[in-house]
Amino acid sequence: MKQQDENRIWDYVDGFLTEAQKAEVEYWVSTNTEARQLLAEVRALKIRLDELLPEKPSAGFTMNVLGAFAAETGKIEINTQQADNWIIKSIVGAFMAIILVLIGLVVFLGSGNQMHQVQQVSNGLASAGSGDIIHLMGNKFVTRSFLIAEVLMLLFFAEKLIKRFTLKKGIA
Amino acid sequence: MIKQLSDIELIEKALRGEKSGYAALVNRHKAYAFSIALRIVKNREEAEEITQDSFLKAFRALDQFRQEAKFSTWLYRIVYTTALNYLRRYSPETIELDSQLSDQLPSYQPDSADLLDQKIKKKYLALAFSKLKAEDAVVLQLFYIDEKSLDEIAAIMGLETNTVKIRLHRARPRLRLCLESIMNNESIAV
Repeated sequence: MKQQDENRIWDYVDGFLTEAQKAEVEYWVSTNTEARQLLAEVRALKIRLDELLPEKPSAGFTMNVLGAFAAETGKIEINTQQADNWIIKSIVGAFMAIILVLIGLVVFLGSGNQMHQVQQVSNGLASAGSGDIIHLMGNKFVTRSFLIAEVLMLLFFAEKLIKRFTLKKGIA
Repeated sequence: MIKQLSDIELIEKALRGEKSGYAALVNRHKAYAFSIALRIVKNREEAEEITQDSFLKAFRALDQFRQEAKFSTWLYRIVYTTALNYLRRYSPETIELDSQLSDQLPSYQPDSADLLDQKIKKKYLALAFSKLKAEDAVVLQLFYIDEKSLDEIAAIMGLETNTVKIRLHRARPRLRLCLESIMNNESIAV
């Protein structure tokens, strides 16, 4: 089928035609199988096109634009988004709570408990019930592992906070 | 509340230095602006950079914005030219706007209509869009997704309205054939 013919069908579906032209296309479609099939195909495609939504940029796009504009002109004052603040505060809060619980557990169970060594930890983990897990908290190896993990997390969040602080200072 | 304000009212707020005016303008238009850039450069990171740059250009010149055209038309024109300039600078070989794509694509086969009718899905359509030439993809994006009139598309792309119609006439069959080609490949793969 010629592109010109296909475009008549597209124009028909898109509502570009006059009443006379529409009647012409309708007659053509009613007498031509190929045109009829193409009309069905174009209609289906048009429905999908109408349903297609625009692509979205990343979540921080608006803040990036406003931040860049503020940094360039100083015309607007940018504050860290409240939603972002809430998320960061929640994460930091949860993180602090975990540290406090762990320290509390270690202190409560006693740091002098030497009976579980590395080998026992691995054996213990395999067969541990909930009571055993609490018991393991007194083990030096487990305690140190937790502390190292916590320190790493602390450094990670500290870096994020410092970056945000520096960015805010730069924008201001 | 702010969502109900017109673009002109938001511009006035922005010109008074109110952050909410700028933010609302970005939020309202970012998806469509980003889509135009994406159709041209075919890369999300680059498209985002171009869209951000376009908003900055628009904001810098906001006090010069004449209300003869819609703000969206003015902004999308900036996005369109920024994206094309970017492409010219970084990948000039992709700027062949009047390609012979229709010659390369398979001819129309009526017996594939049922298959197409049943299996057309958004992901295939999005894929077909990504395979189209930039100008074809943009004109289709503006007409079908952004629902712009031919006159508005002409203003955005810096063309005559008749030229836009010709572009649309070329782009529509190309999209259909491209989609058909993807669908046929998919059915072979299955």
